[in-house]
Amino acid sequence: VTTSAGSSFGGSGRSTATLRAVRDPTVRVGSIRQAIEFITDLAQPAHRPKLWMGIWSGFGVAFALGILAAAASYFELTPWTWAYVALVGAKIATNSLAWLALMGNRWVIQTQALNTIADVIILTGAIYFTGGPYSPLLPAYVIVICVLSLLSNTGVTLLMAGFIVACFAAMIPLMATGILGPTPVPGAPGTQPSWGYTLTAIAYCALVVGVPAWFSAATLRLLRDKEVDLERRTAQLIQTATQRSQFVASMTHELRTPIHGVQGLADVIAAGVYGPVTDKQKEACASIKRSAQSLLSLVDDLLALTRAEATGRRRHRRPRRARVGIGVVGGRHQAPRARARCRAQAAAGAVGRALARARAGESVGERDQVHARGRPGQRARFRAPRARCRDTRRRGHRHRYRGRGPRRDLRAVPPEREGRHARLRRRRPRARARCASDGPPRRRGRARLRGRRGVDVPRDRPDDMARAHDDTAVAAAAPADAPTGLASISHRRLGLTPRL
Amino acid sequence: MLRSPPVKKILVVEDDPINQMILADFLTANGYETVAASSGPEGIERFDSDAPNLCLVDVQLPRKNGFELVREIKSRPTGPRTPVLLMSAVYSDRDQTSRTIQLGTLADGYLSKPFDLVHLLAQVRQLLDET
Repeated sequence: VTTSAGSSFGGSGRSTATLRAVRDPTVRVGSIRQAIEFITDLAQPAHRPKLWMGIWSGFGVAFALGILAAAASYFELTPWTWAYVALVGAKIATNSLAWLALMGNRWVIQTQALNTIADVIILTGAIYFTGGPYSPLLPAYVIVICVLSLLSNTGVTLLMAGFIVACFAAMIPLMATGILGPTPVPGAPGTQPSWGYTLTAIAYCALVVGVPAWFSAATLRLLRDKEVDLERRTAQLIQTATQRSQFVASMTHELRTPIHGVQGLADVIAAGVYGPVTDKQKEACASIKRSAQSLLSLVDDLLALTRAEATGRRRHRRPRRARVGIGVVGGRHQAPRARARCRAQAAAGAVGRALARARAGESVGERDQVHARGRPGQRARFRAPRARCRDTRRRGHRHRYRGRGPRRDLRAVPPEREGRHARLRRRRPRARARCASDGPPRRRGRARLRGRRGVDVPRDRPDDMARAHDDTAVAAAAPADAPTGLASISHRRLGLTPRL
Repeated sequence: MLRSPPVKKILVVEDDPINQMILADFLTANGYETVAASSGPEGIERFDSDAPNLCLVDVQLPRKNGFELVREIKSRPTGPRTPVLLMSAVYSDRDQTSRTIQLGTLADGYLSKPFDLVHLLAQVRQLLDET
């Protein structure tokens, strides 16, 4: 009378083999290759604790069933047979083999497989010797399946379930055909149970219920421990992310404040606050300011990168709703994302100014470097009643529209907003070819920086920028260096008309 | 005899001494009287004692940040009539617009550092109804 459901493979509920099977549609469920993967998956070091648990519980269950067999014989519930000893002995032998293999870390999978298969065969033998289909040991199969499902993976559990059915199905026909002789059922079914039968039955019930319960409880405890650990790690990650955000915010302030000082001082000196200024000094102040702005752009890029890394967001995203299309600023060899950004930037500035000029009753012409063309509705919306829009396409400009939103595209780009490569392309074909051969990755960063120096666009929402200008009549009448982005929104909110 | 209009007083609350100097000098050169403070509590103290016509408040200040300071200024009897212009280097123009709107609900205006002094002047004049 021996079975040891405990001597099963160890393993997690959702193994890597299962995951691989889910991800890879070419792996067919039920294939031999997949079955081997399920079995070999249990050889992972992470599963060793469960293998050990299976070994010790195997010894325990073998011992318990041995005692049950002895008790059944003692209380004369079933006649004594040496087959019980053989079955328990076989179980202990295979379990010991698996234990030794695990100790020596050799032939682990092979011995574990042998042990598990032996479990089913030995249990089937015990069922045969206790009445065959009438045996009270039949529920012990459930122990095997329950423990296997908790300690191994789906594949192994299903394989062993099939093997159990096959073993039982092989035994019954052999008994029906008389090849295997009939065996007595313990006790006397249909009569009042004796005290010996009662005690043995209670012990057996405790075993059938207790083993799966113990394994379930152990697994749940393991899961709970992992959950607690996960919660702790999550809290740590949140804390780290918060600290990082605070650090980024602090760094932003600390890096931008001195730049503000440099720029402000240049402005104040150039404005003659500290005394008369010569033209040369004014030029120097302008250079200082330009350099400070370049530095600011670099700092902003660096901080944006840090922030993107901290939040795990993709840094470059195409605008979801590009409401404005525009001629390419930096040339065809730019990366698509950089190109989209430049397009949006240039569009935001040019559209806004042209719109406001049109609304103010002025004509929109060549000096705006824009041309309104769009679907019905958008077109009317863009053009003011007295506005006169003209196509200012020029040779050398690229014209295309890639946005998914309404097509209110402005076709040309002010030369000062063009990238260096666009100018190169127009003027120096060889230089252009050289630039194009450099490939997109290195161009992205430069194009981005270059584009941002002119019009500042929120990184992820260039359409907000366009909308801000679109709605602001006054902002467009502002000079070229009028506030853009959030500053322009601030102006709009205040109803401010900036003046030089 | 025509009386010249009274000089408007601007409270500059800024912890960075260079920026404080720039703002004070620039506003003084443009005909305003300036009062400077380097921290939140000092800003409130100056607001109570000097009754400025406009406050220029940095967001990051020692001991009491710009938001708290704006809230305190607005809770004073003369607070609602005194426009407050927030400025900060933390939130750049590249940040999302909601940030600005959030800031705008607290103050009467917002400037992202580094800003052009011309824009500052325009905002100040607008808030002081001088345009």
